[in-house]
Amino acid sequence: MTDRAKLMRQVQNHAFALNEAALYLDGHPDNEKAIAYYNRQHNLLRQAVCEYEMAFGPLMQNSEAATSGDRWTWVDGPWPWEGEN
Amino acid sequence: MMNDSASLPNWGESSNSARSIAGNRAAVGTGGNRGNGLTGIPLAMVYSPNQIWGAIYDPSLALQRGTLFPELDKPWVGEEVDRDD
Repeated sequence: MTDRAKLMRQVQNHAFALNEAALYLDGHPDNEKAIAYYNRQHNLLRQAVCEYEMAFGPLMQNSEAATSGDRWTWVDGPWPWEGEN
Repeated sequence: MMNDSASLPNWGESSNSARSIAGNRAAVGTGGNRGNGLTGIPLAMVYSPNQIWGAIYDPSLALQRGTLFPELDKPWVGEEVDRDD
């Protein structure tokens, strides 16, 4: 796995865990353990996205990294359909 | 061949109480005589107890298994986990 794929997989892992916790919370909104887990994964996801973006630019068009400095850096990374290089 | 038109099943006094449906099993529409000992048993009934937040998978395993929750991880035959790391 390339570095990029590793960082992307890290983002995917936490995004998935976050979504699963959200599904559980839909049915159990007062569950403290689930809320604590959700918050933890939310943080880890943010960190993983930040780590990816520092190395490979914005992950999403509306990410802050898309306008770092005075350039629209969204165009510098591969387009979504260009896949892994 | 004219299909037999069924009248509304008699669900008993209060239409949504499980007890009254079970109590009136013979009277409700259950799909006729199946000749396999299941005559009179409801054709389908959802079983979905309250899910307790217990042990959960690590995020990377959860993504591979498609669920965060071991109790929902049903390894159907012929399914294999994508191990690309």
